This record gives sequence, structure tokens and C-alpha cells, in this order.
Amino acid sequence: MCYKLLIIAALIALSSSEVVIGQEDLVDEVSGHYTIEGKVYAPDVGPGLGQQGHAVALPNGNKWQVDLSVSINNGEYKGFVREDGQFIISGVPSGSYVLDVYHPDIFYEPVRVEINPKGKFRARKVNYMQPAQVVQVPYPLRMKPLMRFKYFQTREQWKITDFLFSPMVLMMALPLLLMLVLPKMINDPETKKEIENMQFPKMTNDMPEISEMLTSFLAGKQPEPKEKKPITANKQTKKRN
Amino acid sequence: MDFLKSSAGTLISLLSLLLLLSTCSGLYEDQIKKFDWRSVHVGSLKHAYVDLNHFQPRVLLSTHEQVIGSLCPKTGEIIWRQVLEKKPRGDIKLLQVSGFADDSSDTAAAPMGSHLGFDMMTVQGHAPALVRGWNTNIGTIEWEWSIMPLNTERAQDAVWFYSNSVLYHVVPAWRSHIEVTSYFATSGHTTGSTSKIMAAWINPESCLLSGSFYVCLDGKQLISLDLLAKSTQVIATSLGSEPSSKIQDLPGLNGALIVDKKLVSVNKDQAVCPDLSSDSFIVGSFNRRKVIAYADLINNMLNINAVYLDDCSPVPELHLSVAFADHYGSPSLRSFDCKSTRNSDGKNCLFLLSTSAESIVAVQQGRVRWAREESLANVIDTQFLDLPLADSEGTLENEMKGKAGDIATAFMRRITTQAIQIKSLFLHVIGLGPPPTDTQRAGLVRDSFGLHKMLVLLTRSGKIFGIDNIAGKHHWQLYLPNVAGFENSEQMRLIVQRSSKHFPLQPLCAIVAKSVENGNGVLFRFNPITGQASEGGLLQLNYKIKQLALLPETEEDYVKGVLILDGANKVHVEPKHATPLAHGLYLYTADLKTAELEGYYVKYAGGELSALPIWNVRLGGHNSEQQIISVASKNPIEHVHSQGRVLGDRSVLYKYINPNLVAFVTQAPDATHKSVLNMYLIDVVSGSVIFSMTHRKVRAPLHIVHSENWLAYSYFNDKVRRTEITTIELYEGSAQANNSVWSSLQAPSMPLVERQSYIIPTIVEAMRETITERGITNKHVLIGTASGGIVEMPWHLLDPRRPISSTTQGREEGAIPYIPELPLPTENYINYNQTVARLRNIYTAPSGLESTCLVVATGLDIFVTRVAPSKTFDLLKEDFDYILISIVLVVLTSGSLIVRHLASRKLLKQAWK
Repeated sequence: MCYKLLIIAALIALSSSEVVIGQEDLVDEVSGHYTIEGKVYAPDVGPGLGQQGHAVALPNGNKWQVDLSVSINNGEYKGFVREDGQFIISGVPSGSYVLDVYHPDIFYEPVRVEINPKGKFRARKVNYMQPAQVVQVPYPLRMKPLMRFKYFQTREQWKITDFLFSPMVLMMALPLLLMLVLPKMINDPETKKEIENMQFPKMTNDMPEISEMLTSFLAGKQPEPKEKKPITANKQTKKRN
Repeated sequence: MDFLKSSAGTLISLLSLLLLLSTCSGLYEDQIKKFDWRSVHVGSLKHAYVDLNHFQPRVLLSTHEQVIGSLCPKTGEIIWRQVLEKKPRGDIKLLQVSGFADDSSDTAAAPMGSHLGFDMMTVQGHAPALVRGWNTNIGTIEWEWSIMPLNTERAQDAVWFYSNSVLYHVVPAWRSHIEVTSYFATSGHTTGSTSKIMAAWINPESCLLSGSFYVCLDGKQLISLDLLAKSTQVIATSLGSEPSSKIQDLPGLNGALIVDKKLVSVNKDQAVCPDLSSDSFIVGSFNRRKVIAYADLINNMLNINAVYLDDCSPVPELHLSVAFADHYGSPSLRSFDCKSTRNSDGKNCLFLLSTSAESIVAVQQGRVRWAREESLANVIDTQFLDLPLADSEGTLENEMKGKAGDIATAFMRRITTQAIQIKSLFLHVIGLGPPPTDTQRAGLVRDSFGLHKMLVLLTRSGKIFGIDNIAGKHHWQLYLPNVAGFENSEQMRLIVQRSSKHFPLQPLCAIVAKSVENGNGVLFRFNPITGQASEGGLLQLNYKIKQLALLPETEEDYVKGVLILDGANKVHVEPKHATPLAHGLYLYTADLKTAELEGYYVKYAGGELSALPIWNVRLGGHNSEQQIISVASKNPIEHVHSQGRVLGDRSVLYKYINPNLVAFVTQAPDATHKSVLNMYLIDVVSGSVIFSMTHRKVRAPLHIVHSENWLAYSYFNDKVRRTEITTIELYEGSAQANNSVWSSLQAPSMPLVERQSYIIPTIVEAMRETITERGITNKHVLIGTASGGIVEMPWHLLDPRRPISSTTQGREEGAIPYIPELPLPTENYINYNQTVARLRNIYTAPSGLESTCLVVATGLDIFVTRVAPSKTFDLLKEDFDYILISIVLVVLTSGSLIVRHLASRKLLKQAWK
């Protein structure tokens, strides 16, 4: 059902646009050469804004009409834009062309213009993937600015929230929280003591004290911790007992 | 179900693509112009009008590069520029500025924006001929019309002239008649029928149009015809003798000509000053009187003089004498104008000259006010050269290089150099040190990362530039007159014979070209840092150059000799002492027209070099229609770091890395397929064809890059009317035949070939691969697009091993699933909005940093930048937060100290319990 409606809509669209093209049919007086016509709309000022569309000066100082070029086959045929945005490309033989509008800052969608040997014009969307698919656009061409080119990446800025919620910090902070908060939450004195005995002495034993190492090295003696260790071990056993 | 699967597949591939793209390097906004610059050009001058009396003083011009524009007369900067179509359509035949017509009755000047008059009009092309009116203040078009001549061949020689709002189209039919059609300039309506004037005396060699007079040289006399006159009366003007050079017209005077440096008028209403003799004349006005100005170059001094046209008396106010630098070449006066004040003293007159080195020079008040180097619009070769070392580093380098015999001498040398360094430091501190050398004063000292280099540019006119690649400053210029590119549409070459690595010896570059006078070879050697000729400078060879190659460095002076194969297949080496090194070299030649390749072996025996033909290949096809359109070899300085590729099953696929492999592409018209393109990969030492491929219904423009074990080329597919890129990768297989030495003569078995084609949604203008010092960094392909942008395309996206079905194997290999259309994200445009008009070539060179590659893109404009394909992994990021890291360090150390103190206290407390 949906598909049918879509097809009907598409058909209507096609037929209506064809009628428009039929009316606009223009055969140039030049034998076998035709003139492509169209209008380029000013950047920042959409076609919806109508008559108040003044030319917009872009950052580089020049008027957009000068920076903009309308070309086919990379400059084989070219059109230049008048102050009001109108352009023509004259002396084009019949064929199928991709018309590009180049502006260093603004993106315009290219259009495929087809001129048949009788001089009928058809404009459609460029589809490189499926060249047979036809989505017509009105002719004379109306080239609307689609978007401003985004050439630059945005720099990452240092924010405290980013830092706090980064996985590294979270991984470090959560266990720390557990370590500090959990023992205080446990009320049972027995388990509390056990935890205390389990964790902290171990940490101190594992990490060799730099100063001790240095003194032992300078004194040239066997390091003392070896004597200490049994003591702590004794302590533990004592306390357990 | 299938639909769902495929959509899921595309989703996955899209996601992976997005991931990949996000890792691509892009620019940050604050990096604009930090390490890139662009210079904008218009091309060599064709027509020019200086207009100082307009409310906005300007220089209006058109150029041989099909550009029209307006320059600021004070600085020479471009106010606006319009790049017209390519030749032949864009060829500018006439530039008419209103108010500059021959006579004052010109009524073309009309208020701006009205469709009645014009500011500036151009006529370009011949079939169709386009007539355009321009607004000279902002550079937009006002109106346009075109005519399509019935006989397009004849129209090629057509000339145009303008008079009284009417544009005349003059089509000569050689040795028969002249057809003149007149049009209203602004509307294109004809004013009447075409008039045919019988003139059997016209011929293509010696005719021209001067104002409304059609003039031909016939032996000792000038035959002319006034095309505007009611009666078609042929006027004959006799000359004293037969002129030795071609006749020229003098724009601005109707019927005036320059014959053998003298002025002649064929118009009896127009008197000229026949006694003057000069290289170039122009007509202008000074204090409301018409004057003829002329300029000559005498002993490097440019002398400009002028006479009043009516009485031929000199104008002393306009006399000028200016020192004129050698590198501009020979000047010719193009236009001048004076700011009109009452009784002007000539000090506010601006003379515009064009030179044989394609510079535009403006002279005012006895000095060169500004000069534009427009030969840079045609760069044909570039090289990046390391800057010289500072003296102290140089001695250090010397020491490292010296082959020390024993420890004692090495130690002694070490001590002495250190003593010298200390002494020089001391002298420097007290201010008695040696004065800095010229290069040091100019800031031309090598930086620690090798990013600062001298960019040497060779242009088509024979002018050579030494430009700072970071600041864009022109350090030196050289002009080689009377040189041109070779046959076979080969351009002149710029060769580095000795790099800057050999410290006390200066670097050496050479230019190999063809002499315009006799077609023989020319060799010019110079120091690329100072721009001074060295080793005798210009060397005229007495043979024609067919092929050239570089030899390895010699032992004594580290110069790479140039091996030249001449027209008679004899071999020469320059400099001579490098001759023995040429033994055992292989050479090949390719004839573009006949598509024939020849391979030679160079033998050195008995002090003589000889070239032995050892193989030939004919790529012409069965009816010899194929022509070579492109030849691509690998960059000789390329290093391949990784020998293979790890597959999904942890086995290694070894690359087929053959340094002698060259790709040849031929094209021919075809009856059934319109056009057929063949690509051949040929080992140019053995002459064996390694691989070949045929594309049907495919045509130029073709651009090709060949590197490591891969090849990528773009072409236009006529069947589906889009540009496509085909990529090929060659692999030896899971085992390497010989992993230490490559020999083409004991070639391994035929390589495995992977291939794939992609759609690129733009027209490709140029392609080049990035290159780095050791080849560890990923390779990207720089693609120049029709819009003038340069896109950095990672090889991952062009990889022919991108799997079509998303199998696990491909994914494990790290390949992205195949999508036919290549993405062109705007973040990957390395030149952001600094587009390069008519982009022609991209050159890359390694920098001292492994991660960074230097890039220069040439066309009408020049854009220089650097790219880091795998990001700058060997440099700290420029936004590296030093404060944060030091704060973190301080906090961590102090925290650990405090915590240790606390812990020990706790331990003590526990012990006391």
C-alpha cells in the first residue's frame, strides 16, 4: 500500500516536472550548441528569504560571485555568475554533463544536465552509484548552498568533568572508594580487624623502602628486612592466636 | 531476511568506516597558515591596461593562462581574478576596456549594471567564440553571448577588433578572401550581412590586424586594407628593405606597425615617428597629449623614453632609467598611465612591463615598484633540499664521517674540535666572532627536525626559484633563456646531483633541458642554496638528449653523475670522471606515439661507454593505434619498511617489491567500445611484461601513482560517466624467493595480483603518494580534485584487498569491507579553502621526521604544506599541556611522600599497640 502511494507520488512528480521542462524548452540559435541556464543562490541567504537576499561577503573579502565558479568537465565549459546569481554556460553540444558549482567555503550539490540532440534539457541529481536512477530537479537550474565546508577538527579542551569521567580515573577512583569506605561500613569488629590485618601489612612488606635499601647498600650489610619479616609474621600469628 | 542481513552489513561497514575516518588526521583551525602557504598567480601577460584615473586605480589584464584579472597598481596584489576555460575555448583573443578605444568617440562606457555598455569585454575561443562583458570593480560577469562560426577550421585564425560599440569578426580564408561580420558588442546582434572582401594576397605566415587595417608583409612592401572603409582599396606601403623579423602591431594606433624595431604606418591619417628605434613601443597619453613610449635594456639598465606623437619631440618628464635585474629576462613595455594632474611631472606615471621570464614588472619614479613572478604559474619540477648546517654542527658532522684510523687520532680530533667550539663560543660572546654568512643571515640554517628546507622550483619559461618552504620567501631567482622541454612532450628536468649531507662541499643541482636554438642538450649546474652557478654553470652539449639517468655517488666528490643517452644511442656521462660508474646500468626509452619501448644495457670497456639494445616491447596493438598516455615508475628514494602483510590466519603474504617495475598506460580509439585503455606493468631491466589489464569504454584523463607493491590509477568511465580509481597490489605469495637481494634477471614467479575499482565522486586532477624518510609511516594518496582541493586518502580505503562480503578473515586482517564509493570527507582536505586553481601536479618529499611528509601542489597557484599520514607520532602534540603534566607530576611525588610519612607513622602506632 505504502509502496503504491510512493510510486504514484513519484509519477506525479515526474510528470509535473516534465511539463515544466517542456515549457522551458529552449533551442539555441547556434547549430547543435545549447545554453545551460541557472541561478546560484547566495551563501547564508536561502532562496526562501526571497528578495532581501543581499550578496554576502565571506571572510576572505571577495564577493562570493567571484570566488564561485560553475564548471563542466573541470573547466572545459564554464559559466560565470552575475551579481544576482544568474549564470549561463553557452555553446555546449548535446550530451550528458555533470555541472559543478565550486566555492572554497560553501558546498553546492552537483547536478547532471542532459541535453538531447533535439535540444531538450533534463536536469537530475548526480548518482554515481546507480547511474540509471533518475531523480529530476527543475531546469533552469537552481543551485542552493547546502552547507559550509567543515575543514577543521575541533580541538579537545581540558575539562574537569572529562577528566573525572575518563575510564582511567574511574578505574582508579572506584576501588579506592571501596577500599576506604567499605571497611567503615562494616560494623562487625571481628571482620574489621581481619581486613585491617590482611591488607595493609602486606602492602608495606611488598614495597621495599628506598632509604633502607640505600643504607643497607652503603653499609654493605645484608638488608635488615629479612630479620624483620619473621617478627611481623610472629606478630600476626600471635594476634591470630 | 536477506535484506536485513545486507543492511546490517552495510551498517557495520559504515560504522567501521566512521571509526577509521575519525582516526584520520585533520587540521585544527588554529593551524591555518602555520605550516602552509599559498601564492596566487595569473600567468604571463597577454593584454594589459593600467588605469590610474579611475576612482579605484587598477591594472586590468588578461594572460596566456586564460585568466583575466585586476591588480592593485600600488602593490601588484590581485584585486580579483577569473579563471576562464581551458584552451582552445578559453584562449583570449581580445580584451577591450572601455575608455581605451582608439578614438575618443567611444560610447561604450555606460553606468555600471546597465546592459548597454561594458567596463571590460573579452572575446575568447573560436568555435564557439564567447563574448563576455565584465564588471571591472568586483570581477563579476555582466553579459555573455556566443557565436558558432559555420566554418570552424577557418575560424581558428579569426581576429577581432572593436570600434564604436561594434565588434568586428574578421575571418581570413587564406589566399582567397576576408569575411568581416559586425556585431553590436553588448547584444551580439549582427548589424548587417557578412561582407566578403577579395584578397588573394593574404597568407597565414605574415598577416596581422592593426586597428581596423588588415596588413600583410609581401617581400619589401606592406599590403594593407582598411576593413572599415567604404571602398575596399588596397594600400601598398614600401619598406626600405625586407624585414628580418616578424611584423608587430602597435595597439592604440590605427594602422601603425612595428617593423624591424621601427614604426611604420599604413594609415595615411595616422602619422607615426619613423625615426625611433626600440625593442618595444606603446601608446599612451600624458598631459592630454598622445605620446609614444619606448623601452630598451642597455647594460642591465632599463631606459624608458617617450615622444609626443604629434610632433615627435621628446617628453623629458617621462624619461626613466632603472637598474633591471638579470633574472627578469628581456623586458617589453605593455602599458603605462599617469595620474592626470595639471602639468604632471611624470613622477606619478606607472609603466607596466612584461618580460621574457614571464614576470610582470611595474616601474614608477625611477625604481621597480613591484614585480610579479608569473612564471610560477607553470612549475614543471620541484625539489626539496636540506639547508646547510651551522658551522659548529658541520665540524661535528665532519668528525663523524671521518674514517678514524685509531683511537688516539680520533680522540685528538675530538679534543681539537671541542677546543675550537669553545673558542668560537667565547669569541661569539665577546662579539668578536666571524660575521654570519649570507645563508645564516637569511635564516637558512637547518632545523633539528629537517622540516625547514629550500624548495627549488623549475618553471616552463626557464626561470628557477629558490623558495623557503616555511615562510614562502623567494631567496633567489635564476633565469635560463633559450631553453625548452624535450620532444615526446617531456619537460625539462631538475636533478639533485649532490645533497647537503656532504658538509664542506656545497649541494649541487642540475637542470637538463633542450636548447631552443639548435635542439641540442643543455646542462646547467648551480648551488641550490645560494642560487649561484657552479661547476662552470651552463654547459652546451653537442648532442640531442633522448634519455637520462642518475648514477650513484662518486667516491671523491659525492656527485651523482648524469647519464645521457643521445639521439644516436651513444652514452655520455656528465661529469666525465663518473664514467666508470655507469657500467652495468640498464636504461629504457619509450616512444609515446608509436608505443615502442627499448631496453639498453650500458657497458664500460676501454674507456668507452656503449649502449647495447637488449629488448624491445611494442604496445601499439595489432594496428598500432595505441599510444602511451602515461608512464609511472616508483620514486627512487622510496624505502619499503614492511616486507609483507599479516593475514587473518597469522601467515604472511610477502609483497612483490620490484624497483624496476614501471607502469605504462596506452589508449586507443575503438570501433565498438569508443576507447580502450591498456595498462602494462613491465620490468624495464629484463623487458618482461609482468601484468597487463584492459579497460573498455574508458578514457583519459588518466592519473597514476606507483609505489611499493601497489598501483592506483584514475580514469573516466564513459559507460557509466563517472571517474573511477583502480588499485592493484602485487604479492609474491607466502614465501619470498630471495629476501636479501632483488634481481630482475632471476625474477621470481609471476606475482599474485589483487585488484579492485572504486568510484570517486569528483574529477581527479593529480595524484601522488606520500613519502617519508624510512617508509614506516602509512602511505596516503594525495588526490587533487577539480575544485582545487587536495584530499588525503588513506591507503586502507583504496586497498584492493577490501573484502566484498564481510568475512571474518578480512576483518582480522584489518581491511574495511568494500564500499564502491570512496568518501571525501572535508576534514581530509589538506589545503582547506586555499584551493589551487588548475591544479596540475603534486610533489612530495620526506622531511627529517619519519612521520612528516612535505607537499607542494602546483598549478596556476602554488600551495606548500606538510602532512603526517600516521599523525605526528614522533613529536609531542603542539597543544601538549606542559602545565598539566608538571602539576600532575608534582602532586604525585608530593602525595607519595606525604602518604609514606603517614604510613610510617601509622605503622609505628600499630607497633606500639
